Amino acid sequence: MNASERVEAALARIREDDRELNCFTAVYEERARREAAEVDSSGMQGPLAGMPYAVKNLFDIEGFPTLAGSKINAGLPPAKRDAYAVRKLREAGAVLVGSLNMDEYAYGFTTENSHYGPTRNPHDPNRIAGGSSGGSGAAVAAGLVPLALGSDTNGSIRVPASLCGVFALKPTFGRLSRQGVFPLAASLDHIGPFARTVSDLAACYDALQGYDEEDPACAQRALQPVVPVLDSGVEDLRIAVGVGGPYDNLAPEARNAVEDVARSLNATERVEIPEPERARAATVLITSAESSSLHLPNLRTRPRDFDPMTRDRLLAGALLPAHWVLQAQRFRQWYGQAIVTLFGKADVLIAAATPFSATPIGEDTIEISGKKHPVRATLGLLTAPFSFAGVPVLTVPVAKSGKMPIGVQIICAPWREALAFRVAAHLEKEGFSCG
Amino acid sequence: MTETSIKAAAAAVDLSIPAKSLPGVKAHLERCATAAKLIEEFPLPPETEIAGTLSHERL
Repeated sequence: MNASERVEAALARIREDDRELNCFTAVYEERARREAAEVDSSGMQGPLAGMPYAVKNLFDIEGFPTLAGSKINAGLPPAKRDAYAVRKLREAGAVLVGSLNMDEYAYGFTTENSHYGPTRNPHDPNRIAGGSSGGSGAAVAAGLVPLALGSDTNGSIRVPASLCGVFALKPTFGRLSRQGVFPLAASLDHIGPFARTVSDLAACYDALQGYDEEDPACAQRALQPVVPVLDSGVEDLRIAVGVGGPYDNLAPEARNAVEDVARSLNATERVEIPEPERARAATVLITSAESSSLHLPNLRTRPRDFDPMTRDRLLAGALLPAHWVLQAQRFRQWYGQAIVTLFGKADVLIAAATPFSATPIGEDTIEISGKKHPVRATLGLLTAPFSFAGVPVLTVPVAKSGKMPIGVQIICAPWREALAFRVAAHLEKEGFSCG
Repeated sequence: MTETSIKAAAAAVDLSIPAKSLPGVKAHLERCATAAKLIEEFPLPPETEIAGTLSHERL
């Protein structure tokens, strides 16, 4: 199929299936047709040429206000240009077809958005898609688009990837530019891709790489393409299972997923993840303070326009003592080094991405090992320590017939995304796929 | 943490907490206080600076 035919097929799937799933908040039919025609007439080649994709609705799209899941931002002026990542994908020939639902201001793990409705899990529409990039995970899992972009502050790429059963990457902090992406907590925010195959994920990640002086966190590093290393195998890698604290307190499906992946990789060593509860605690403080600071003018003047799911946490975050937040950022300095030290013992760590698979929409608690846990706060327990440390993590789906999927995190040292891609490519060959 | 102290802290940053939000704000502040206690119990040497993103290479 040429680009125009692929885009028409995607638009038809979205029209047909998104009424139930509610992944999209905007579909750009005219722009998509125009971009597809440009790709076809240019004769552009490459893995992304003519590939339809969509973005979480916190990415700037020229001519439209950047919603970031909110009602408030709908009143903002339209973006003057596309976000850096969208421009990079356009250069590679990918065709933007729409923007995707999310938790308001990316402050949540379930995409139960009160303004735009919940995004439903394609594997069971009565269940959550995860969040905050829930539209991205669900749109890719449902096959509405083969590729999507999301953002991850404490797990917002990896949680929906886990619950929807797709591949996704949260790169090293500073690897990919966040220019034109509405922030949640800038000191922790990352962006990254979702895909149904490792090769699509790799092609997208390679296209997104590049230094951008407009993102103050973006590192000046040489491009490190991962497509060329996908067939390198894993025989020379030391792979260990991350254990301790919340990594041991898993529902059976999460425990089984880690065991399946470990078996497939011959990973018999165990490595204790240091201080995961303290890392998560620090992310709660930093996220609360930074997001509240960002939204304080609107919290003062129009608190009722915020989603009730986020409003109270944003209001509370404005009241945190500076000492709590500074101490959390000092702890982050220590923690980043503590996590990097683990990679002296292993090249790659694996760990569950979420402690359980998707829960019913509206469910507040879940029981694990006989104890009840709050769904929303617990979903990010296993992801937050690694984004706090800024290390790259690729989520691989573990799907079993008749059951909800769940993801496993492939964690590497900073700037070693290539190792995670090698492991994911190996696992895909072993049968770990979107199903 | 009482509702009175929450209202006073909010007033200090020119913020008014809607009555309906007070229980939710209180609950999140208590969660943050628990998190802060956990961090505070962890000994850090005085020379540990905050993790920042500013790079002098680019200034």
